[in-house]
Amino acid sequence: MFFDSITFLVFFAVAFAAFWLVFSRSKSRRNGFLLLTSYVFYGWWDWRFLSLIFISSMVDFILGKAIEKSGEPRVRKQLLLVSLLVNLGILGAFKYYNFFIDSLDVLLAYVGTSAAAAHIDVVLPVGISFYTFQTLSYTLDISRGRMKAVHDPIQFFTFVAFFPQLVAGPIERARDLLPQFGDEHPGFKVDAARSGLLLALWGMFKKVVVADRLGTVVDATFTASDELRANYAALGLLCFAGQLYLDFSSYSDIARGISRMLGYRLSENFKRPYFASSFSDFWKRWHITLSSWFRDYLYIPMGGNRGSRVRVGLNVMVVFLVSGLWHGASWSFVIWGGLNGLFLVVVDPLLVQALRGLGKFGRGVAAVVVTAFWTLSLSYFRAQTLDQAHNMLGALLSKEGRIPTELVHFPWRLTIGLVIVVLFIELIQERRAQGVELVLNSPRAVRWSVYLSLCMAIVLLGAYGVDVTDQEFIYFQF
Amino acid sequence: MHSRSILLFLARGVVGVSVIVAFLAIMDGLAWFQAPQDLNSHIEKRWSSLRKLHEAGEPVDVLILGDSHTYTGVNPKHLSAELGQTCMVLANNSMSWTDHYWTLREALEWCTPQTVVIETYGLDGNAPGSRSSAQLVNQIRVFEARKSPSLKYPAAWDLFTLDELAMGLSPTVRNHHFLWDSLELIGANMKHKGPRPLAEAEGLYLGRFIRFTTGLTNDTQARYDSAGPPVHGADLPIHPRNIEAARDIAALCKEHGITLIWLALPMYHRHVDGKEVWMQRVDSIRREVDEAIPFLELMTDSSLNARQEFFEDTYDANQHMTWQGSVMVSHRLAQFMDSLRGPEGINRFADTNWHRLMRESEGFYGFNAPLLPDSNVSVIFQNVRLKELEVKDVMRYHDPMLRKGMDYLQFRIHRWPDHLPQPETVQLIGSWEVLWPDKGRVRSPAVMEFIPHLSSRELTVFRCAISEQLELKRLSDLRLNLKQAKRAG
Repeated sequence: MFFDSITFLVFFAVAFAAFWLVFSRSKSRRNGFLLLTSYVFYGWWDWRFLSLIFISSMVDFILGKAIEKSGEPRVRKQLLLVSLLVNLGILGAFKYYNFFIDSLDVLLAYVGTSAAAAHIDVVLPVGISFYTFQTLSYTLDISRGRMKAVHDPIQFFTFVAFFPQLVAGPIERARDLLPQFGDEHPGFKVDAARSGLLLALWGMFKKVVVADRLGTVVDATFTASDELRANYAALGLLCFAGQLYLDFSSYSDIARGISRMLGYRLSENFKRPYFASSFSDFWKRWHITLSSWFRDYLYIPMGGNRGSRVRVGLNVMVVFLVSGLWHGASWSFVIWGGLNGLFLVVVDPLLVQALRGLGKFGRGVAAVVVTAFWTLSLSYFRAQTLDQAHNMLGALLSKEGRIPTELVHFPWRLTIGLVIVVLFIELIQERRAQGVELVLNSPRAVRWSVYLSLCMAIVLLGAYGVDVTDQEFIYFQF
Repeated sequence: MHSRSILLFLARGVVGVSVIVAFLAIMDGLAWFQAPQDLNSHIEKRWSSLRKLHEAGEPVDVLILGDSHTYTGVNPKHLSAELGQTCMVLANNSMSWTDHYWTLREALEWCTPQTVVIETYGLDGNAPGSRSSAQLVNQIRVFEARKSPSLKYPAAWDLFTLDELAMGLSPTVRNHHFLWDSLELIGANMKHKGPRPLAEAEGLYLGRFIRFTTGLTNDTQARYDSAGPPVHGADLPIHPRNIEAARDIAALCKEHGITLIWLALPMYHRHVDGKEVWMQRVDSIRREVDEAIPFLELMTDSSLNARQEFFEDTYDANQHMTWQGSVMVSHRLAQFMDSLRGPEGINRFADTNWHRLMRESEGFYGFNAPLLPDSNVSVIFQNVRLKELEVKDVMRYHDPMLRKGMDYLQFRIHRWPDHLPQPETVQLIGSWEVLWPDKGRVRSPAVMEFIPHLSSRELTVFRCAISEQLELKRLSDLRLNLKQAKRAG
């Protein structure tokens, strides 16, 4: 069940009405209902995967209490290790096993043997990387004494499975989200419901109208990567930079919007990253909940900024290589992570130094440079194979090539117009931060016009239809 | 207070959704996003033809439902001509049995058939949610061609998933991409004002579409050698919704006193493996639905499935029958239906209105002597004994499927004498005195072949094609020539 489907629209409308009219009065009813709807939502893909989320939740619920109860640091560490092993074990088995077997197979080929027989056919459960990290934050924080274990299993299971952010984040920390499933619930607030609706509609607009449209260009250019001219290769990469941001941020917007409508707050996951004035600034704006997870649970435990520049650089590289692997079990994601680590370690200091004192102009140039480097690295993120990524980058230097057939009659003017609209709204939000409030504080007629215009734009300008290849949310694959 | 504000918010949501739905309904009414008319739309032509027949007071006696296998594999004009009933194919490409059910319900508003024949290929999938985008496009086209408002909306829930529903119901939603890629089409629709009518066929259209004529080639035979059959009958899934629809169809037929027949059309024997298992499974479903439903299973019939000229030259899973195959299948189906026809069964051989309707159809005079004056046909003899043969009639006629400038010369013989060689082993040679426009009067033999698809237990038919310029004067000799003896000699 995708957010941009009518099925989800109906599902959410029913869940929303039932939640507020019937189940919102007490904690147990709220959580019981949310857990049930979340499992229905997740089981819609494949009910068999419910067992995985159930096992993860059960293990961490039990271990969380055991860690808290144990006064012995050694035992606490051992219990935490069990949590890590179970959660990362499930993640590894489903996501990385074949990657390691295939890589081993390549290596063994040099000595004339093969590991291909060990390859297994397995489907990657939707959202496994997201909910694994979310539930791990719980045992990690308890072991560090940063939060207390919960004793209500339904509350904990609801925290792990909460459907708005279950399959593609934001990756919430247990200490932020878990208490919201406790006794304190804000109750129905019209303003929160309105702002949530607006955020969700805006997210839907970005996904269905703009991101999926850019996806057509991306698909066409990457498919024809071995015979592209420089301008189309550049266009394909730029469109992917736009698509990836709009696609993923739209999911976060919808997740935050519908959570807000149910009275829950989720973290902001994107803060207009293409306005970043440095690479370090970029990572404070892009997939913030993942970046901060790695910062808190990997980078800082490794030493963080303490130590020599080489040591800090190494720490950064490890985090980015792991982040690459988190995104996908392939060498292209590892390279993508590595490149971004290098940008941060090597290019960022040079950039900051070169543009120091240039004020707004310098920040503008920095945003362009950061976006350009990021866009180049995305070739590895999007490509199906390393060869395709190299072809795409090689095509940037090519004077000859063809226009992909799918783009011969592509509606460029309308697409560019919509991208400009999105950029303009992003710019307003960057300047005034509270763009949503601007609309919400407007007279009713203006508010209604905005809601209905967004809906009509989604229906009439959306890139969907019988002959249109479905563009799933990109981060679902992680 | 709490509940009131929630209800108010929900009510506003309902108002918002209603505004959007109303906007779309208005746009649909204006038809600005309507797809351009496809004058060749066989789907629309079938419905407009059915309505035209209804308006003209012409009854439809047999409805044939199915998918593309059916509208290529059953020749409704031949079937009609042989049965003495008006038979209409209401099959559409890649349709499921759920769609067959709704097609039948809508068709019953326009006709009162005595028999419904349903082809079983569609049992194997194409249910909502398990379709390719091409199949969904077909489903939408088929759905759009049906117009009954009382059936359209209940059918939509059955035929589309929730996510497909808006596309199925609203041309504005479905074709919103015109805003991106076909603004000129929207302009043209705005000028046209209002929905366009369905495409209409010229003359009598009974639903056949596409005429494959070449038959399987050696290249495809070589692919069977190298790659085996592309269809594995034993593995084809049968969707539970189609079984439900089969029950609904059986109940609907019972309710209307209609005889329901299941028909399994053949594919080339090397094209499918596991056909016995497949057909047993289909038959077990039939028995589960209603054991009394007659089933004509031609898939495993070696007299049909071994004839490479009967099948489309393709290695694709979807193998259709050629025109030649469809004629033979129609003959087999007619014989089967005839065997089920009771004394009260409709028979329009002597109905002049029916002759008026059908007489220009292909195959009509292969089965029927004219009741009405017709320049396309002349009866040369009727009910005469020529040597050992009781000749019912000798006709000369033009058939629409025959190339221009040619006529058929056809002998229909009562009860083939047992002591003679089997008709398929002989040629019937008539020695004729003929008049050519420029050669004058000459003697010329007409070599006629046995035509199995026109023959029955009662009638044995021999036929040949002759020039329309040739004037037949007098038959002076008639003899049989043994084909086998000739080959042996």
